[in-house]
Amino acid sequence: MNTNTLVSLKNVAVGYNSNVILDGIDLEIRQGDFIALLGPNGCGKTTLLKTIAGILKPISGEINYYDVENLIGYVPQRETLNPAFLLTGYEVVLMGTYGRVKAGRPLPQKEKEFAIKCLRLIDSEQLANKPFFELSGGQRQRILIARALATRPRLLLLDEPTSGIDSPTSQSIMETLQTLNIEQGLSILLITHDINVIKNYAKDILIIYNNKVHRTVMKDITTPEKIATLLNISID
Amino acid sequence: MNSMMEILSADFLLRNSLYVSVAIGLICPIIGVYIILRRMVFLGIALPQISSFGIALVLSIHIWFGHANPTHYGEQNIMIYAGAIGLSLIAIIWLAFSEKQNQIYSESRLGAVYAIGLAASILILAKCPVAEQGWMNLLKGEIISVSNADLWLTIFGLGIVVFCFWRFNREFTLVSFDREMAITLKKNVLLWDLLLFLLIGATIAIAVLVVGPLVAFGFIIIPPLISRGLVKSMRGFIFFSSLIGGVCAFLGFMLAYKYDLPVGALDITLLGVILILTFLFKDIFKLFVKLRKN
Repeated sequence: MNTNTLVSLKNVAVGYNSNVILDGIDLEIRQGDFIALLGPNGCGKTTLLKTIAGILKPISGEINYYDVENLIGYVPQRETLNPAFLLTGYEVVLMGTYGRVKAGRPLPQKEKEFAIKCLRLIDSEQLANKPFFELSGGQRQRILIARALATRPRLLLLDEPTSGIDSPTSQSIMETLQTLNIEQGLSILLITHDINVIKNYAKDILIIYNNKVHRTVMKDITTPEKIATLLNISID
Repeated sequence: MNSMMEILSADFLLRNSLYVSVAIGLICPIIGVYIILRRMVFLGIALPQISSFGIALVLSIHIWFGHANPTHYGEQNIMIYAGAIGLSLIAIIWLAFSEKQNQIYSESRLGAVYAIGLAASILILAKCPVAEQGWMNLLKGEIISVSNADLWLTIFGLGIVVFCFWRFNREFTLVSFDREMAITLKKNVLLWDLLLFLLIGATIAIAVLVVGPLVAFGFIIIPPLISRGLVKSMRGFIFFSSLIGGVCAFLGFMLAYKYDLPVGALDITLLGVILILTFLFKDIFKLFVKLRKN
């Protein structure tokens, strides 16, 4: 494992309940990477992301993590969260700090301040006291990114962060992620179907086709048409 | 006013019943908040039934094992507590694990547990009229006499539940709101789920012993439903649910004493009236806002 490798996968197979969706995955995610994970619907993108995040166990193979306390910040799809909870934006962000506080102990003031700092980092301090589920899709996405940042991660995993969000908001979120990637060296792996995201922000591309994961760099996929051909999708 | 002064006086004969009924009214809605948030309302119906099956089993045990001294309700409380809590905890652990294995049939499973629990209770009590009467009183929510030992046992049990919810509220909220996030934060999700379910099971078992399955279920579900539309925060949700439950338990007891009516049924009817009024008030308020905008 290289010194700036954060996560490495060796011959990993992922899936649910021993049903293999993707196998033979060899992958290294390094410090400063900005990777877009592409593939048609149902090909196993989210399964792979969740396996890297440690939410799912790999069916076979080996995943090695760089030995730091908080390595991964995970941003799920917004729709997976339970809307019955009456939480403010700040309370959602605060959850990111829970990993550092022992169960049953009060949350230290410095963690509360850090949660506010994370909100500020993504220009969303004004959303702190607003009910999370009354926010727009883009605002909610920002809160979830702030929550992931509150875990103090080295690697941010995002599941379709710009899906269902209007173009200017989507662009603004991606610019924030780019800034975090460049200025703070935060590694990013995100799932997307947005050609503009792939074209304008990602340095590397992971493409899933024929049940395999293929890594390539942006310069090898110079046009949206090539991406569309690889993914077997049509573009307008 | 006279009734209130009477039931609040130190020498009121049924004061222990009043205390446990208010305690149940205050605590059941707290677990109800989590049951509603985690969309496990069916669990709130099935578990009280399982608890009452545990009670029926203990009450009728002498019939099946030829015991010389029948264990009738109120006579051997520790055994009854053990039966209700034991069965509730076994059921909730089994339901929690089977839900993890297969979520698709979880509601059907809970429905089946409810039906089987009720049928089995009726069947095993069929040969013991005294025990059956005690169990029927429990089913109707008759809160007649509560001994000092029962009072302290109830307060102690519910005290542990409140302490755990106060202390671990953050962990319960995290695993209930975003399980995947909790895993990435290296929280032991299974352990927290298990603790939450055990607290729910223990509270329901204690509540069923005191007020019966119908009233327990009513106090678990209705106060959170009332307060859900009135508050904007989780703390407010838990606090107001508990407050509504406690106040209704007190008022229900007072009115039942004054008009000689069954306490449990009156408590739930009172909660029902408040629920309907809340919905009506909300609809009228929405209409008013809409008219003002136009």
